[in-house]
Amino acid sequence: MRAGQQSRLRLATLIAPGTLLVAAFFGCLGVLFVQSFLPSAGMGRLGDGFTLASYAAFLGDPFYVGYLLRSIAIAVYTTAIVLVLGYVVAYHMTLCGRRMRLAISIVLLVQFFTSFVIRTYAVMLVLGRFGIANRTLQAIGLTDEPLRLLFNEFAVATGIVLTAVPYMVFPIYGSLMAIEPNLRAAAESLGATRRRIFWEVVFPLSLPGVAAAVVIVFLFALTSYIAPGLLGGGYFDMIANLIYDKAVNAQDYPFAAAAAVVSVATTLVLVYLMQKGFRLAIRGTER
Amino acid sequence: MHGIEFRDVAVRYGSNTVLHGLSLAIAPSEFLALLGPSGCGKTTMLRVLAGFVPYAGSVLLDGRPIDAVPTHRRGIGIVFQDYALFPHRTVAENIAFGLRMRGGAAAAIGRRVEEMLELLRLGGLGARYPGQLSGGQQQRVALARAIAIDPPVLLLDEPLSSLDKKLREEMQIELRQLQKRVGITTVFVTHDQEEALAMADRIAVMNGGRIQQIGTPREIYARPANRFVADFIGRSSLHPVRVAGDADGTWRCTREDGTALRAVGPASASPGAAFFLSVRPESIALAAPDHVDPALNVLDAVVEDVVFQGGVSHVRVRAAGGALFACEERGPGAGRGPGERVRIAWTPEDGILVPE
Ligand SMILES: Nc1ncnc2c1ncn2[C@@H]1O[C@H](COP(=O)(O)OP(=O)(O)O)[C@@H](O)[C@H]1O
Ligand SMILES: [Mg+2]
Repeated sequence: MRAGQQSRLRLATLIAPGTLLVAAFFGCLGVLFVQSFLPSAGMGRLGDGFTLASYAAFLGDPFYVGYLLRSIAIAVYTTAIVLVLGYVVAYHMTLCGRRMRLAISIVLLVQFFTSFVIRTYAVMLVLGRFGIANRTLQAIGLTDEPLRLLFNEFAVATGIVLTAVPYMVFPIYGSLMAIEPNLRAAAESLGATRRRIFWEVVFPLSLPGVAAAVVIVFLFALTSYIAPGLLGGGYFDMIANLIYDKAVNAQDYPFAAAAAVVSVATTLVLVYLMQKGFRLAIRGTER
Repeated sequence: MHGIEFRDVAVRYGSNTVLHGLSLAIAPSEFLALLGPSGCGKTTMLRVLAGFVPYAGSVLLDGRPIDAVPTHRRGIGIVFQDYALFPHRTVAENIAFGLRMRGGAAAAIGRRVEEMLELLRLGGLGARYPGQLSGGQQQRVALARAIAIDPPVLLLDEPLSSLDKKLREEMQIELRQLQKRVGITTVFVTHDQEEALAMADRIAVMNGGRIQQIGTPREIYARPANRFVADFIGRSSLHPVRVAGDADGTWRCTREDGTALRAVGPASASPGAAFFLSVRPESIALAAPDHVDPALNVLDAVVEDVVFQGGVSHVRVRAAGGALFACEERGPGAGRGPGERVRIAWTPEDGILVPE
């Protein structure tokens, strides 16, 4: 009786912080949702009533919808690039020696725990007019003048790719390490070459990790704010920059809220489709 | 059908030598059990044969060295201890895997898979995933997958160890029948001596990276080559003795306390040589304390304990001088109890002198 109460209390204290966080999160989303249907009274004030005007303003203007489409496009191809890079790194980590593995992990973890702003700023240093990239290009004679590598889509994509790699590596590394070594041995004994062992056994069995990592990186890329802010320099804004601009600079909260709601809804649909696709590919891999 | 030969095969991991120059020939269609305690190098032997580990020496298939042939072209069938079925492939796809790697036509592969499903009584399970099968079924899928490629040799690494006792005994019989029917040369690794005795044509007993003895189950049991084999296979009472001289076909020897016994042993034994006397429990008869028979070895003893197991009672007795002997009494037994004075007796031919 007492033991039961005690364990129930312990369970409650364990669950409470999480529940609170989730509640706060959904509370904010709820407020956002409600605000998106309110008329704007200008100067940051909200009017009374119900209107779809903000949705019409956002969805009706290709200029605004362009932010969302552009963001989805860059998220798709940066995720693809990060997937290839991250997979190669993760796969290499399963094959290399213990020291090399430790070195790679440390580099990735340091990256992981450094603030976005600093990481992104580091990319600026690399891509800047006098950065490593330009100096290298000039040194090997590919260009005479420094190239404009910053403040465009290329810079933003590079920033996203470089900062997202750790999110891709660790889940994939985890699922690669979970593969029973005897499965490779079995495939080999049955006549599979190294290449076929990879494509027939290793890769399919790493898909659960790939699926998790792809969703994380896709969301990371789609919601980028600092990368376009610093590396795009206003020449390549993504959806988060538009929402921030509308909310903070223009103080048009209903418009910002409507844009946010549309973005979240689109994201949910995309992630759902992705999960569905992966589930088809993964079928059978979980024991 | 194909024969295998190991010639002076040695394997080391760093400074740890795991196999010490083993030589062993396996005849075509033979079912050979590699038997030994955990860590003695049995799996390593299979890994050498499959080409998974670098080794010194040579492995021959039908008289030709295959040391330079990589694993994926050796074509050896392996059933792993944990089965190693591909979890993301159906039963049929698992069985077809090796055939696909060889690049056969889809129709031919399909027929072979059907054949294997039938051979291993897996009919109707082709579309299941390994995770949806029982241990015994997974075991049969692993076998089917290994045999499907028609390998020259089948390697089985403790394939029955994770099954429960009843299923294990069923699978022992099934596996043995299958092997005889297909006629495939088989190396079967086990640490379970009963399994090895029951299944194998010949047993190679291993310890510490060396082969201790190779022979038929009967030979191994009746004529253990050394103390380790006598101790490891079956139960044995082992006592140090010294050879005193020969007596019409048997050896006279003395125990530490001076008692004289007769036993059989290597012809090369000479007076003064140290051996262990090995006597099987079923060879020892328990007799009345005044029993006399000059044709037998007879010792005074006191019953230590009795374990009644239905058809047989295991009786441990302490002979004069302190040596313990394990004996067996068949039938309902005389209801012996600890402290009872008896005599133990066995024929000289049932006492075997084995070297250390
Ligand atoms: N990859 C390895 N690295 C180092 N030592 C190993 C390795 N594999 C096996 N060994 C050692 O080799 C010995 C024999 O192993 P193994 O052949 O697996 O024994 P068994 O199958 O008879 O239990 C053991 O002492 C084990 O610790
Ligand atoms: Mg083993």
